[in-house]
Amino acid sequence: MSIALTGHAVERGREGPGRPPRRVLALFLLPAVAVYSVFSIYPLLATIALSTRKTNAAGLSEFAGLANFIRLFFDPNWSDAFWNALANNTLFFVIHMAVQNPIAIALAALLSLPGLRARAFYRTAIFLPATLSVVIVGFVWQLILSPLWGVSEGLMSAVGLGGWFAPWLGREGSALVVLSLMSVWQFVGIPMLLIHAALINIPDDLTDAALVDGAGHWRIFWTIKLPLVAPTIGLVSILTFVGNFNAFDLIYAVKGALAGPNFSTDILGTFFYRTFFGHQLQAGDPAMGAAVATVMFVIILAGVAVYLLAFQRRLKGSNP
Amino acid sequence: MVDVRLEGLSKRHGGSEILRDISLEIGDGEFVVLVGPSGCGKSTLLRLIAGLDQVSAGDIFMAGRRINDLPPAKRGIAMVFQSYALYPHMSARRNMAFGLRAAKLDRAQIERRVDEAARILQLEDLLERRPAALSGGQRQRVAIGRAIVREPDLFLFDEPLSNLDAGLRVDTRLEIARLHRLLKATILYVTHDQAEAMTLADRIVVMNDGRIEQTGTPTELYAGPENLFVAGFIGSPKMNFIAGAQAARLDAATLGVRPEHLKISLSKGSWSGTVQMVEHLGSDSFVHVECPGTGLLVARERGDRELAAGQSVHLAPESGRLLRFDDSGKRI
Amino acid sequence: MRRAGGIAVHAALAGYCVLALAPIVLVILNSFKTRRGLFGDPLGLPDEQTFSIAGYLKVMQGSDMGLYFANSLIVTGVSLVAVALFGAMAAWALSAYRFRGRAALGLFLAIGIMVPIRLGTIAIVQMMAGLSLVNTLGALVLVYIAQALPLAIFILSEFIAQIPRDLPDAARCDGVGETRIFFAVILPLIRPALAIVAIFVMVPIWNDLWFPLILAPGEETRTLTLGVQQFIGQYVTDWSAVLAALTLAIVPVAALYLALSRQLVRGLTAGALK
Repeated sequence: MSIALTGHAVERGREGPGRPPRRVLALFLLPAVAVYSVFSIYPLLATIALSTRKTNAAGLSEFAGLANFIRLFFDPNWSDAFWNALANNTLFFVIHMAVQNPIAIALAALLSLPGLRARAFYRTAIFLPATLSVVIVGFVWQLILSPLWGVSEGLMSAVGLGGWFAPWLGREGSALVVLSLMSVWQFVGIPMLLIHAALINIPDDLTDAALVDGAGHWRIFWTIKLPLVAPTIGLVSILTFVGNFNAFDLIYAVKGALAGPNFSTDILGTFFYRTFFGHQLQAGDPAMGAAVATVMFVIILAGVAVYLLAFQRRLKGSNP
Repeated sequence: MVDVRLEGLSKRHGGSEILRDISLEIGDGEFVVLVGPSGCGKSTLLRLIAGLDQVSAGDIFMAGRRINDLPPAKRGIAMVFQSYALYPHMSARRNMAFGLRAAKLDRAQIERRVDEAARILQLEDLLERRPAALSGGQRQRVAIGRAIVREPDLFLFDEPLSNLDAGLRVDTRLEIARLHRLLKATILYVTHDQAEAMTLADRIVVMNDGRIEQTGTPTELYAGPENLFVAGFIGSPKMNFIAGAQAARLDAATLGVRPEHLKISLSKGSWSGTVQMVEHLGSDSFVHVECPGTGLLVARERGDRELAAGQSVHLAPESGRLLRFDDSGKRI
Repeated sequence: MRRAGGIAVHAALAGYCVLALAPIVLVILNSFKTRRGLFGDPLGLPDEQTFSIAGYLKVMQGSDMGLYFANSLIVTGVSLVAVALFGAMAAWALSAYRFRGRAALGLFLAIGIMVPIRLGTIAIVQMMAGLSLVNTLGALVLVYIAQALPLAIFILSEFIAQIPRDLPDAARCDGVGETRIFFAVILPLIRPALAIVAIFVMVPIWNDLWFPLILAPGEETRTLTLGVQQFIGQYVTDWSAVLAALTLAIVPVAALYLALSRQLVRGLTAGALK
């Protein structure tokens, strides 16, 4: 996307009104650039800088090189929690990719069928949860899945599955999966809409040509439409990746900062929060918190780089 | 009103030279048309004069004053754009008044000028409409009105008719000619349509590939093109060109003769050939004749002359109407 | 064949809609029931026996939802106006003028589309403490403006690219100043885009828990999302109150979404993220 943003301006090659009036240029750019630099870019850089410092015995801050990262990765006091959070976060992401994207593609494909009635209603309804706060969604599902209320158990009994019910959110083995599915439930509307838009934008001529060539609808979907919306699926994937490795609200709302039971739902966001602010017995440690944030930054950057390399290059190649 | 002088104007953009050494004078009250194929730099020249683009070299003078560094608004020009460039969110009246309000003219004067322009352009009943509620021709008139209210020294028109359909184009052409007489305005007008240029201009400037090929009145250009490009560009259907041995016999690289200067005879002539096709326009017919060894020649005939495809005919140029060009394309 | 396919399609879509809406409907319905009604017949509509607004009364007494709502409104509203204005100004400058470093500046601004501002939280907290802005709505507003600007500039650039360049040129010939061209010509023309930006900006700000929790957790500056989260934390066992609080948090957003969903869908499908 960054490439698209800047590439655009270059492409247009506007001549502009003579010499760019410096005063006007400054007036237009200054507010946005100032607020963005001071409250977004500077804190990011300052956080990365802080991750290389530590407080010495005299209580002064000094340069520590990569010591904080070495502690984070290898000192059992930190590394157990860190690797646990990273593993959980990866699972969180994998579940999103494995469940959210197929459902989104299927729903988008159905929604894009020509002449479908009530299209706007379906679209609106399926997207609605995405507009709610993660906190609210977390609580709603917590109540629904609660054995105390018994709504889920009642419903499952009604279809003869009552024996299968369990307090999944409270169990170490299943809590993270359930939280991931709650998140999928909430956000599936976003990839659905983006893919839906991409599908609609495929010219009818293409599918008509394939129909004339004797391809069936199913075949057309797999061999023509799906490859054509691949860039959108790539975009959806990177948005999911960034969102997942930066997630916090849902776990915090449902499970609190301790991400129980027994840290089984701890992800990098909650780990970062605890490291910086401290919890129960342990005091907060800004430098270690900064180290966690830096690791998250590197992970997200790596994801974005993979995306840009894999998708943007291909886009440019096919679309000179 | 005022005279305009361009001296050695050049424009480079990203390594390519769009305009090369353009010099031109426009007299007070003159209607000058810049004509040329698309991409020849004529619109760029207009934008340089307007001050929307900066010159790379050379000077622009108005009334003897160098205006290279003045912003568009201070040059005493008004421009009518091909796309009309009307502000979609303002009524026709506000579109026309916008520049005057920016110049902080007093309300009564703005009112007076807009009403006057609306009267001249017969826009009185349309002033409260937005551009979306106007037809193409009406939008064009609002755009012209927006130029008129500024009472500029120089009007710049950038292909103002190219977005109109054929019938409206002729009407608006007449309208612009009428305005020119009425306002005694100095006008520089860009078009790629040589017919538009011929009908409107006091003087035509033919441009090609960033250079001026020739300047002159419409009849001068038509009768006396200085080179092959101008000879081929002005006039419809195009001038016939004959190269090779027949041209060499007359000490030229190319010969040119306009279709109306070719006489068709059934008995004798300079070239003989077969009629390929006859285009009937009513008053006239264009007769396409394939002459072996010479090529396809087009002759203009009276519309009532009966000729049919396949017929053998002879062609001869009227005396003194044969133009000769050397191998660099210059007329001899 | 075709008809059967149609029914299957509608069954699948309708089924998913039930899955998407049922949890929300369930919460709203049960917030209007007595404790007995809510446990006895969770799937039924409230009737004479079970109807009760006790939960809402509890919310009103036990918390200051009105204040939280006002706080959210102020933070979101001020951020929105600033993002729309600053974003439009920057997007216009980037596309209307050629100047040295334009491409680099565009790239710089694009970083924020992908890199979450949360990662700089520690430095933000320290900075806000230094500026004595902790526990003020101003701290939230500043952070949210910085957070939302990159995407806003990106979306607005796409729209500005569609404005014919003759338009500002005509205004320049008319003697209109650059500032006035922006405010009188460009800004009115990109109004539809501003509506789309508003939705994209508003939803994440309104729903955010992280920055209110960290920068402005005080009773006076609590936003609605944080307020509901804390209220539920305190009243975990009072189901009526919890359900009422959730409903109060859901309804304004859902209503606004339903009112604006056409624009939102158009924004997403207009290929803003092509």
